[in-house]
Amino acid sequence: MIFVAVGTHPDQFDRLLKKIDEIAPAVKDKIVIQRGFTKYYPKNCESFEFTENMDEYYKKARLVIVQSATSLLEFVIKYNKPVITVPRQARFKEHINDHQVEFGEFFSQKTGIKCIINVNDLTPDLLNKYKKKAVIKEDNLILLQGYFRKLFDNLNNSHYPSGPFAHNRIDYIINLINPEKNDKVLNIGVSNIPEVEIKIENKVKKKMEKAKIHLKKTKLIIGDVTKTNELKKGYFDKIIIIEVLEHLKDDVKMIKKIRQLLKPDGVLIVGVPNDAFLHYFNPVKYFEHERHYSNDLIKDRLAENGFSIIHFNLVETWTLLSNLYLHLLIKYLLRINFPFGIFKRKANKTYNQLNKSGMDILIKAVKN
Amino acid sequence: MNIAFITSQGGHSGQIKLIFTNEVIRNNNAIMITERPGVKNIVKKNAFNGKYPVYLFEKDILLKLNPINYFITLQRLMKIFRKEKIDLIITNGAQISIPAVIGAKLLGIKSLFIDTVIRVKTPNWSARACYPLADIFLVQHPGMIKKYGKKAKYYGGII
Repeated sequence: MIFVAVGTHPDQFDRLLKKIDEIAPAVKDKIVIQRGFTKYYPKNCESFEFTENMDEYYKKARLVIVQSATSLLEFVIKYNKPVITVPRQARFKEHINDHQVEFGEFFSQKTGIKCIINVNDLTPDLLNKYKKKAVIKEDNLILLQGYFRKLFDNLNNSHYPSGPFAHNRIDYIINLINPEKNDKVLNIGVSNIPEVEIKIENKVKKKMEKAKIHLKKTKLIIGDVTKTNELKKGYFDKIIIIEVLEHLKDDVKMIKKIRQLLKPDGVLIVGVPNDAFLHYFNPVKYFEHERHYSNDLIKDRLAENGFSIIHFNLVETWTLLSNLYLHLLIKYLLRINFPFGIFKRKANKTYNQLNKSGMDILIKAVKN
Repeated sequence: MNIAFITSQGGHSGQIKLIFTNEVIRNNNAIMITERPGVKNIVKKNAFNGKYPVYLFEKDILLKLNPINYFITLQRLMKIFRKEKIDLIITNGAQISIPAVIGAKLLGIKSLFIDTVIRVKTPNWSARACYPLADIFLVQHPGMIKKYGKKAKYYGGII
């Protein structure tokens, strides 16, 4: 059996079908045609429009004639059988452009199968005697698949959560802390509005319950750090306080308290927004922040209260703020909660280098 | 990791099926987004590689070069991305890849474009449009690197 397939492209391909119909009586084998959208109806051979199982016909066929598209490749990779390709051409209005001619010629050069550009080359003699099989090496495909396996593995190993506002910050802070076994670490958070506080408490509790499955040694304490008796003095190795100091009315009191809680040579990680130019547009600054820090102010505050600074870095230039503005604009104009992540990758880059300017200050300090 | 494959019907999705067998995808979750085939007799709802879900788009929406239609598909694609929590999108060309890459850029999702094998000498229209926006741009013939630019890279191809 000889199988002729035209594919599912919406344009006509009657040039091929007419020729096949013409030579069909002189060919020894039975010819079956898949017509597709071509309206020409062959009289001398069997034909149908579409099937879901082309594989059955491919298996039965002795010789296959196909257009030079992906279906040719699919056939060659699956079956080791003789093939002829006939590319669709733009000047006969069979396709938008001549890329099939390009690929057909390339493929016939590489594998040695027949690529027929002029349909008159199709003769009964050729079909009766043709036995050329396409042999391709799969080295390149294996290379490409190997590349994708590596890529997926690399992306799986980077453990940032997906989403627009996720960035390298968590990794950067973990690197600063450099946690070891049996370290006692305290993370201080903030909430200064009583009504919101209750809601946040419930949320945090739920999150902690989920996290407890993984972290069995964590404990949640709710209350004012400067007043509670639950925290022992001189107990902690490391303390993290990020985006908190600017919300407090008395930050010196907090820093002094932290110094009491730390062991000698204990490490403190501080993060505060920088009072840079673009930050004056930040709406959060005016509603919720008690004071604006600059590089020198935060350095002085820590030095005055008995800390020496080991590491000082500025991160994020304008990237995350512009994401925030876009988000707020869309939210209040269109009432759609749409998180933008356009500049995420640029923000990520700033964490990998030492910057001279930036919106966020991150400091690692040691108790004197 | 959640991966979305976005291609138009026919040869483009055929190439994706050739490259991304189940052994390549392995533990990751995947979805396929394509156009609804224009064939009346067959309704292809078969799962991608026999197990991953397939989303179908109306073909007419994309065929006309109308910016409003592009905007509608962009919105729908982004809804799917957010619902399925996609981390990486992989496209192989034709019109649907352009709104897909723009949507991924807006949401901060990593995007990868593979050029078709069929183009050996001349660059592709949709590939040119996606070139500045895609994070990773792959080419399946080493000679095609010159046609696009420095960003294009060759790590092997189907042939």
